[in-house]
Amino acid sequence: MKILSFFAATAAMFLSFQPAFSAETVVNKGVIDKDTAWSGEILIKGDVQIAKNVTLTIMPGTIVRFAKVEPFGPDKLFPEKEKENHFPRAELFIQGKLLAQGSREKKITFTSAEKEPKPGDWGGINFNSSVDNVLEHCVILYADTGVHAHSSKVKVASNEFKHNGTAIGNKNLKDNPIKCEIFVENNLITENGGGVVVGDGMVVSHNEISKNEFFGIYGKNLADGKVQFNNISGNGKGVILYAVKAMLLSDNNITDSKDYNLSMLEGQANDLAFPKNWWGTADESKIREKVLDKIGDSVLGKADLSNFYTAAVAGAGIL
Amino acid sequence: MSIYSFHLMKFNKKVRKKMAQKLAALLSGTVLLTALTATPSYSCVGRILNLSIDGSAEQKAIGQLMATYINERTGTTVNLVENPESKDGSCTTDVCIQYLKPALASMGGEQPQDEQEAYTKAKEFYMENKNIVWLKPFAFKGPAAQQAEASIAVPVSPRDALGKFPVLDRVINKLSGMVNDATVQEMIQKSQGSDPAAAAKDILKAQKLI
Repeated sequence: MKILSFFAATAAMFLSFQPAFSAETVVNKGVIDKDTAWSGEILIKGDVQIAKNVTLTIMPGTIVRFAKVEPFGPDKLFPEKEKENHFPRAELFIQGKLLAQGSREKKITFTSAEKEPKPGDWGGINFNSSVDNVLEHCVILYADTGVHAHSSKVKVASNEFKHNGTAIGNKNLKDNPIKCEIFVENNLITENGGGVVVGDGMVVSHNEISKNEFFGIYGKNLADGKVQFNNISGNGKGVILYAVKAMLLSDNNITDSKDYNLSMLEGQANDLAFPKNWWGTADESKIREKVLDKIGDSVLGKADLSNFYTAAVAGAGIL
Repeated sequence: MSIYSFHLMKFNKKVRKKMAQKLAALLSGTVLLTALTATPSYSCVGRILNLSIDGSAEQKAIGQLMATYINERTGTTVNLVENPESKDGSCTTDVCIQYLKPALASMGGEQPQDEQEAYTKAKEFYMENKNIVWLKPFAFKGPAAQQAEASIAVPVSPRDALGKFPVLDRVINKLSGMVNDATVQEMIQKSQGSDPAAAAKDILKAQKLI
């Protein structure tokens, strides 16, 4: 009896330690066609598609690593001819639903499996015609584009994006009945190539968007995006704009950009007004020094920054 | 969807350098296949502009200036591809740099002596016969070693590439006067022993283009 008890106690102890010693689960290229939960350590070795009407749940503390596969090679589900909608390297392609909800204490990590990781080692979390998705308390590293949403609805909250080519992007697909609703809030978006590409249906609020090599915010082909209460500082360019008809950009601190705090790109011909932002100075002439618009290039639209704040916006940034 | 090249992200420069060295060793001076580099994009999935250069110091300098300017003014990622194009005025990537005289020679027939007339003739020929758009010529007149046959350098682009990248023609055309012998030499000098992307950015900034 004592011997049996000893074995039972030993077995129980062994089992209780299993998570600490759990082996990495390898997920090869393929389609997940039934509801699935991931926990522990996951190694993804190719494109993984979550089929329509299927939910992938990722548990707090999970580490998802992506192998650096050959661009559009045998580990890709999607050929190069579909590159408009897919990344060259391994991606998580969501047509069903993704629930990746970590916690402050147990974040979920998406990263490269390389020993010396680099931006673009893996494609990204790529939503397509998908709704009710949540990414919360995640750390997303070394992707081409950390989160990309085509005609999808995603909450992207309290995450950290670092060392990605671009942190977040979205686009509505032509003739797709689902229109983007992307809420980007309370994220730290830093040291990426680019920060957030804002398209129609995106709301970007209370984020810390800093030290991104090229841009903090890229307003592109949109008429109804909102960017409010963010700290956008120390980026190559704070805000860049292309073919924007309208965009609410207010109550942000947009400061200390290496080049311009606001730059209209070739193709931004519409005039735009962005009142109620803090541009790092109360001197209008100094504000204008960090703006590229019609004044610097006659083919561009005019950026009206009047009614600017004369002090930093309190309450902007991560809550 | 948009968008990069070895000039783009400093933090990724070492990777590209290593990759370039490996590729150079593997391919020993032959065509660099852009698909192997799979550079990450600055915005949407996919669309990266490939710009061919022939490997000469002059085309590397012009290519870098173009790549930096296109990226700065359109947000488009530009991939510089060492891909010597045929001298016949065509272009197998998104943008190439051709020289007027060799392109004219490959057309056959009588060649106008007047440079402007010759450019117009070549522009019409390549549009009609190869769907290649000849953009505004640069002021640069060919590598120094070829001064005996000096002829203007012209950025050219397949018509479908210009469809994929709106405003690309406008942006490249803005460089027409700026890319001249002096700028190209300055770019070559500044690139020696330093980051070519940073050199290009400095030159473009000094000329108030970015």
